[in-house]
Amino acid sequence: MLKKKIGIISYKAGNIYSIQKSFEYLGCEVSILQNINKLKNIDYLVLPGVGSFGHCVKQLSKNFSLSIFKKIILKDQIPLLCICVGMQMLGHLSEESPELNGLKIFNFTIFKMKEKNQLKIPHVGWNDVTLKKNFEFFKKNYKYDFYFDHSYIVKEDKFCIGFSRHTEKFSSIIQSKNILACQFHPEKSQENGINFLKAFLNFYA
Amino acid sequence: MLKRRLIPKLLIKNLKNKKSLVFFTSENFKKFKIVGDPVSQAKIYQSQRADELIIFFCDKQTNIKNTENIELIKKFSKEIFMPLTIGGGVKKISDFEFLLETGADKVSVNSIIFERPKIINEAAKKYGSQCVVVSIDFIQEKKKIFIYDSKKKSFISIDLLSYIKKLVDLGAGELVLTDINRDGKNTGLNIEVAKFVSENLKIPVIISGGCGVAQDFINCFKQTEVQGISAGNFFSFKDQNPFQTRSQISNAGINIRI
Amino acid sequence: MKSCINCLLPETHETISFDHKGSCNVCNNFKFKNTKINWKEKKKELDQLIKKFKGKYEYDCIIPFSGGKDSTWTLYYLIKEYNLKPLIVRFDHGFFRPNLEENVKKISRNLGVDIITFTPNWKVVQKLMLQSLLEKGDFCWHCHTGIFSYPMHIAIEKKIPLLFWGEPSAEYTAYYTHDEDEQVDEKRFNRFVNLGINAEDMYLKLKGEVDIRDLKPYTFPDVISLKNIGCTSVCLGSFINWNPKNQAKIISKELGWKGDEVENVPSNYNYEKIECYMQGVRDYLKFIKRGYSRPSHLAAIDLRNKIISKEKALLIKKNFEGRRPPSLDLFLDFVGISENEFINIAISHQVSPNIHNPKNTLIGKKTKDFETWSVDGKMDKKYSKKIINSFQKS
Repeated sequence: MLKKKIGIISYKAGNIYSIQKSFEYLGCEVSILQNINKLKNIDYLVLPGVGSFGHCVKQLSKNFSLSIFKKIILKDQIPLLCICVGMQMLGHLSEESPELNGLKIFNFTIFKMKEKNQLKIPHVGWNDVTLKKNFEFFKKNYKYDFYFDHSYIVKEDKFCIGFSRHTEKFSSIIQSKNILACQFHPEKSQENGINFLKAFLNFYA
Repeated sequence: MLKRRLIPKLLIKNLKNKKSLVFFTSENFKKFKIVGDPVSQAKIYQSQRADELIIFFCDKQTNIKNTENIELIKKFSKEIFMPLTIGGGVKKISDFEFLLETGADKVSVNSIIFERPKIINEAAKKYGSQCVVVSIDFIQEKKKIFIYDSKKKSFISIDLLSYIKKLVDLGAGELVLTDINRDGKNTGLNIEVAKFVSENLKIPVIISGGCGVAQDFINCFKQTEVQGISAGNFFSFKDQNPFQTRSQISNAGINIRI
Repeated sequence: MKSCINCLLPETHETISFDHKGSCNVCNNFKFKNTKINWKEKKKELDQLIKKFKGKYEYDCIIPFSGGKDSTWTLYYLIKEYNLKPLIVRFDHGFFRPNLEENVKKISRNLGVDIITFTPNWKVVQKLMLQSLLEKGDFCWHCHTGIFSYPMHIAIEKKIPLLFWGEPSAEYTAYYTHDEDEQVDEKRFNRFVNLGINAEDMYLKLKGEVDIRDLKPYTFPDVISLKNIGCTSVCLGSFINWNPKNQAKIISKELGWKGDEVENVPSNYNYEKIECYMQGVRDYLKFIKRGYSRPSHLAAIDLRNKIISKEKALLIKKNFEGRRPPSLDLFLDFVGISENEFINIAISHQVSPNIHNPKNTLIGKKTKDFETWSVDGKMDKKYSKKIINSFQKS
C-alpha cells in the first residue's frame, strides 16, 4: 500500500520534529517543505505554528508568497491541517500584531483571552474539547482532552466543529472544505492527538 | 475546564566513568540517584500517559548544543507524544532555537536570568511566551526566601513575588518553582510559597520538591492555584506511577486528566 | 480510608477511582464486561484469530504458564476448544511449590504438551529482588519482567507469532478498560508490568553488579523483532468472559488440578496464587504499604459476583490480613536484610492515606509444605549492605 505523503511547512516558527514523527508513527512519508516550490506531489499539507502571530506571518512570507500559498490551498484543494498559530493565521488579523494580516481564508479575528479570576494565561495544559458534530471517531457532544499552549483565541466561527472553555469559550477545531484546523497540539496530545491526526488522514482520504 | 498537571521530572547527567547521558533524580540538589536510560524512561512515561515531562541538564557544559545532547533529545522525544520542557545550561537565543527544533516544546531558563534577564524578552518575542519557562530554585528560612544567584555565586534574599513579576513582564510564560530543601525529602510540598505565588501571578505556576505521597499532591492542588506539580523521586522511587497518582488525586475531587 | 461501596476495595488500590455513587471503576468495568460486551462476537473473533495461525508454525501458539489456575485454564480451554498444539513456556521465578509441580506434571501428562522451563541465575535474582524492593517497595521485578519477556524471546527464536495469556488486567485494575484493546505488548509492559523500570535501567542502577547479558530474560524484545515474526500477543480473557472461580472448578474436575493452602488466605480460596512461596511476603508488603491485601482482593471478586455479603467480606479481612507470614524468614535470608529493615523499606513506600502500625502484628500460620521450601541461596549480609549503601548514598 502506498504511503501517504505529508508535507510539513517549515518556516522557522516552531517544533516540527514532533509533528513529523507523529505522522511517521502513523506510517506516512513526511517531507519538510522549505519554500513554495516544494508543494507538489504532496497528499496532505500541515501548517504548524508556534510563537507569536506576527512572528509566524513574517516568517511564513519569507519563503512562501502568502498569496500564492493561499491560491494553492483554495484552488488545488490539498487537504491542509493547521495547528495552533497555524490555525490563527487562517484568519484576518490578530490583536497580538494588528499591523499584519493573516491569510484571510477565514473571516475571523484573533483575540487575546480575557482575564478571569484566578485562571491563568497563557492557557497551558490539558483541556476538554467538546465536539459539535461527529468527526470520524470523535463523537458529537463528547469531550476529549488535548494539550493547549496559547494566549490568543478564535472566539466563535461558523466553521467551528469543536470548542473549549478557559476564561471564555473559544473554537478549538475548525473545518471547512479541505481545511482542518486545531488550536491544540495534536502531536502533544498522546492517544487523542494521534487519533486526531488519523482522523485528518481518513477524513480527506 | 483546564486540568491540573502531573509532570514527572528527570535530570540528565553523565554517568561516572562512562561517556553516556543518563537520567537521575536528586536530593537537595546534591545526592543523585540513577533512574535509568533516557529512551527506556521516555517509553515508560509515554505508556503511562504522563501529562508532560520536564528534563534538566545538570552537568556544567560550555555549550548545550553538542552532538551528545542532540542525540539524546532526538531519541528521547521520538518516543513521546506529550509536551516536553527542557532546561539546564540555556545561555543564548540560539539555545532556544536548538532545543525547540530538536524536540522541546518549552525551554526553561534558570541561571542565565541573573546575567542577562533580557533573554526572556528576546525569546518571548521570537518564539512566544508559551515557549519560555522560568525555573527558580529557592530556600525558605522562616519567612525569608533565598535564591541562588549564579552570577554572585551565593544565595541572596529576595522578594520572590516582585522578582518573578519582573520576569513575567519580560515575557515569561510559565514558572517552575523548586524548594531545594524539600527536594527528594518526602516532606511534602512547600504549600505556603506555592499558594502565595500562584494566587498572585497571572501565569501558570508549577511547584516541585518534596512529594512523598499522593496526599501531598492533593493538599497542594486543594490549597493553592498551582497548575502543575512536578516530581522526580516520587515517580521513580516510590511504589507509584502517573496512573495511580492521577486516580488518587481525582478521587479527592480535583480536576485532573484520567 | 474511603472504599468502594460495592466491593470494599480501598482508595489505596492501584488505579481505583470512585464515581458519584461511590462505586469503583473496577466494579463498573466488571458490570460493563457482563452487560455490554458481545461475548458471542468475541468468540467469533477468537475463532478467526486461531484460524489465522493454526497449523502454520512449529507450534500453534505459546502459552506462558505457571501451573496456577489462570494459565492452567488457558491451556485447558485452548486444547479442548481448538485442539491447538501449544508450546508451554514457564519462567521459574525461584519459588515454585511442590503441589504446583505435581499439578504441572499431572496436567501436562493428561493433555500432552511440550514444555520449556527457564530458571534464571539465582545470584542475579537475589540482586534484582533487593534492588527492586529498595527502589519500588516490590521485590518481584524479576518475576513480573521475566514472565512477560522471556516467552516473547522464545516466540522470536522459534518463530511462533501467537501468544495467549490469561486474564486481562482490566479484571482487577484500571490500567486498561474492557472496551480497550489490551494487547500484551511493550506498551502494557511499560504501563505497569515493569514497575517503571526496564532491564536497561536496572543495569545502570546495579552499577556493574550484573553483566548486561544476565538481564536478557527480563528485557522486553524490541518492536521490530516482534513485528518481523508477526507477533500477536493477547489475553484469552479478552475473548471469553473470565470467571476464575468457575474455571478453577472445571480444571479440578477435568484435570485433577489441585488447589493449595496459601499463607494468610482463608482455605476456601485454595485456588488462588498457589504457585509461589513468596506470595505471603508479597501480600504482607502490600498490607504495610496499602492497608489491604489478598483477602480483600478475593472478597472483592466474590462481592462483585454477589456470592458473599459485606459482613462476611469484612470478617475475612479482619481474620486474615496483615499477618506476618512465616515465609518472611526465608525472604530476609534470600536478600540479606533484617526484619526491621524490611518493615522500614515497606513503610517508606506507603500509599496515602494508609499509615502502617507495626505494633500488635499477628503471626500467620505455616502451610503444610513450609518445611519443603528451599532455603538455599542466602545472601551474604556484607553484600546486601553494599547494595543498600550504594542505593542510599548514590
